[in-house]
Amino acid sequence: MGDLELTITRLALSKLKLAHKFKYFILGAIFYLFLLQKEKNRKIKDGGASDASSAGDDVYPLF
Amino acid sequence: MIKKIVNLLTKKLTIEANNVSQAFYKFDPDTGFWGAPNIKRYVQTDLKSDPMYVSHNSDGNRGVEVNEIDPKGTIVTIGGSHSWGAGVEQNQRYSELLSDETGRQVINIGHASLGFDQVCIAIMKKTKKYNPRIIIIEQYPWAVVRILNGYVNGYVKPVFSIDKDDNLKLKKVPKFAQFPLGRKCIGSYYAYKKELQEFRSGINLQENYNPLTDPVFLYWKINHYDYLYKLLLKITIVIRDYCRQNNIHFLIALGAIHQQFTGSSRSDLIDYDLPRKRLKEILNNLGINHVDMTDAMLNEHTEIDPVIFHDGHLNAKGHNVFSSVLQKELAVRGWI
Repeated sequence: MGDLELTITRLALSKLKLAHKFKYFILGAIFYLFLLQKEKNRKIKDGGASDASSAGDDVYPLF
Repeated sequence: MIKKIVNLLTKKLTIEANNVSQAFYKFDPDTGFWGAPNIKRYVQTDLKSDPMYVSHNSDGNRGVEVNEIDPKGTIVTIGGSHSWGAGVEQNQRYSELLSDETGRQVINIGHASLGFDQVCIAIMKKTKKYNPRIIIIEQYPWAVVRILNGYVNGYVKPVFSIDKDDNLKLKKVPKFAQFPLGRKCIGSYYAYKKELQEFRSGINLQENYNPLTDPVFLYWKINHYDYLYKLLLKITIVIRDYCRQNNIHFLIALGAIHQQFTGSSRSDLIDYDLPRKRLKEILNNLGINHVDMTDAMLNEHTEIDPVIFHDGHLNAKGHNVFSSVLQKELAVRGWI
């Protein structure tokens, strides 16, 4: 299990209430499958060091 | 069915919109949310016993209708709930007092929960029609954390980020965020991602949050916010350059945060001045005009006659002090 997957799991387990644990597992799974995994792969491909998204329009020149 | 599933999954995760916020905001394609126009109503808050009268003009800003623009140039003020005037009547706000003291047209476009990122976009997208000669950003130092939050009061915000080449990027508000369900879906993701990043840094803002130990004040969490201050620096540069290009005087007014009125922290590792210090370092390095309200506020504050409400918002006296300091600052700089 990679770092991201482990963090998602630990976040869910850290919740105090059982219902919250369940919700965070489900949310983590959904977001991981559709969004977080893609971002992680993009960061690996770009060699990015920060958690910043690389998607978006440039701000310069001023929009 | 999909809506029910989304509601179930996001019920506790999404930030619950404050009732007042929901009543006074509307979707905005540039800033995510902005004031709803043409509102006139009394609002009961827990800041004082009497209800507060709130009137938004046709631009969605709390204030009189702007029918004419001073050809000499106006003063535009922008910020969060302090600028919007939470708990005070419209004519008690620092902007109205500043207008009375200077004789200049002062247009206040502040809104509760506005982040510095949204302030940047609003300055570039919404102020031109007011012919500003001076722009004053009222910045509550703690509120710098808002630029890390892409989902506020049920609205999706534009999100600034820094790419691997150190360029500032902007993810604009997606079109489907104009629909409540769209906002809820993408907002839930933003909220989750933020919580995940905080969790990595050992930060938990969801359970047992204590404002006296907010992680933004903690020296041992300082690394988590390095990215925040890097973003802040780049966004400030954008504002500075915009103002320079348009021949606008630009001033940041730093408020005193609530925790500073409660006395010093219990540990040398908890510094209520930390966001202010880091922000001032950025402003000094960039040569940005700024004024710090802390000393004036603390000097005027007493337990019997405070400058703030119980939650830290400026009361009428606080707005008076704020306005007086601003007026002196503008005069000293020769801007009025």
